[in-house]
Amino acid sequence: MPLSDSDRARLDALHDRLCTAKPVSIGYPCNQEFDYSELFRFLQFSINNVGDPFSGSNYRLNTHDFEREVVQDFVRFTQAPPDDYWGYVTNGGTEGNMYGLYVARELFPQGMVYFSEDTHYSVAKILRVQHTRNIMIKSQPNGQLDYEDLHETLRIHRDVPPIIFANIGTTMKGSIDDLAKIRDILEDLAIGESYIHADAALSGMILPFVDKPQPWNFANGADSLSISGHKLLGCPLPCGVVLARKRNVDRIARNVEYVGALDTTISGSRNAMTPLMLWYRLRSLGDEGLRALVQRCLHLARYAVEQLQAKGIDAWRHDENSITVVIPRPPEALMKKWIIAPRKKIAHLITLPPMTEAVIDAFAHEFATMIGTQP
Amino acid sequence: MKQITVLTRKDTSELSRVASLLGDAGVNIEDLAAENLEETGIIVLTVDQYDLALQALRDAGLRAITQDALVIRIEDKPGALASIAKRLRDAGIDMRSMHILRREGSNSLASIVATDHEMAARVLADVIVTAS
Repeated sequence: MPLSDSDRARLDALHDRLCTAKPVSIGYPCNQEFDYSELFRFLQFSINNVGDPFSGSNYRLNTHDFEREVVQDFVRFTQAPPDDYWGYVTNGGTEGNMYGLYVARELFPQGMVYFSEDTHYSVAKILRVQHTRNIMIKSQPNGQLDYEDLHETLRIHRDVPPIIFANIGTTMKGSIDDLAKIRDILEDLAIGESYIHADAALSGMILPFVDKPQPWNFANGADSLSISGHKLLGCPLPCGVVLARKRNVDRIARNVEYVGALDTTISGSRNAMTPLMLWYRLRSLGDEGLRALVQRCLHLARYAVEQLQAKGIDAWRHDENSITVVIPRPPEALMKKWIIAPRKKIAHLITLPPMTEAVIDAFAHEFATMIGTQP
Repeated sequence: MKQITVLTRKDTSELSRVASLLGDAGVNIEDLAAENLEETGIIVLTVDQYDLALQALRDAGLRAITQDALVIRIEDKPGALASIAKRLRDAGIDMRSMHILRREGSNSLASIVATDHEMAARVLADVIVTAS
């Protein structure tokens, strides 16, 4: 039965609203330039990736083979040990963080989680859900973990296995916690048992494609890592990838006979479309396309800082690998036009497509005019 | 009666704003005390309708801390929170979480959730914010 005219009008109105919002959405980390029309034919199937993508499932309408290839690409990007990794496509960065903290808690039930002030609020929720003990560590003004506070805190609790939640790109400032420094602190205090989970939601797709990445991945001591799929890559459905060391995952494996799968994932039913979309995106861009995309975003971030500063606006980036441009909180009137996420006294631009130099120029001009710094 | 700690800007008008928005929500304030820490106003309330009060405060964009958490004031220096955790541990109290609420100047406000709330409050009596 066809939709009524009023229902169809509602869909048209939604479409118009989204078309209007897309070009002015400059403060959220979502690449909005993509074309997945080649995959539309798969929407006629009730596909479901229930179970472990590496173990198979009785429910054969799945995309597990594509999911495994996506995971293998991320193994390469994150320098995960080729003979000791496991992972799957999640429904976003938060599920990946939950998985990493779940593995850590299962390994160290008495462990204490340490995370910085600048950590995304969802982590506090995860810790509450998982009933894991936790202490917040101070942040430096640039958003990085305060290593001195971490050192002192670990020194006092050195008999409790530490589970470090490291930010590889904080939400507001794009700051990256240095995994090498964290490992040095653990060694300095002679802490034998520890776990590091890295939340690399946005930067996990940037750092593999820059010349001088910070120490951020498995090669630098991460035990698990979560990366968003819909952020830098761009995908209309939220998704991500989580990777962990297989020897740790094996210890928490549970056999779920109902679906005939050895299921170590968190969900039962899992999205089968997003692995296909990520696979399609990774294959169509290729490593060179990804590098070009990252370089384009970095160029725009540099340009945004220059243009905003030239107009008397105190804009800055955490470092040369960041596409998060931190700005003072804009006037409310400006945020009515542009879609920006403020927090306390700051806000940010994320220079992902469809951002262009022209968009940055327009925003900088309006911002400077409103606060009276327009030269 | 249940207690709520509210963090606001250091501004005398904030106290009347909180009282007024709770009144509008139909919440009776049984007890109220306030103090300032650097640029933060701290209001400790005892109310008759706990959930309603929390909802009204949240809707107004205010940071409200429930009575399940202890609010403490500590020096802003490395390891300060860890020292508090150690005091609890030495007293045989299991700490669940410690979060920084606000850092200003040389001070920090933090919240603590412990399995034995009453005993934790006694152990940390010297640093608990009571706003009395």
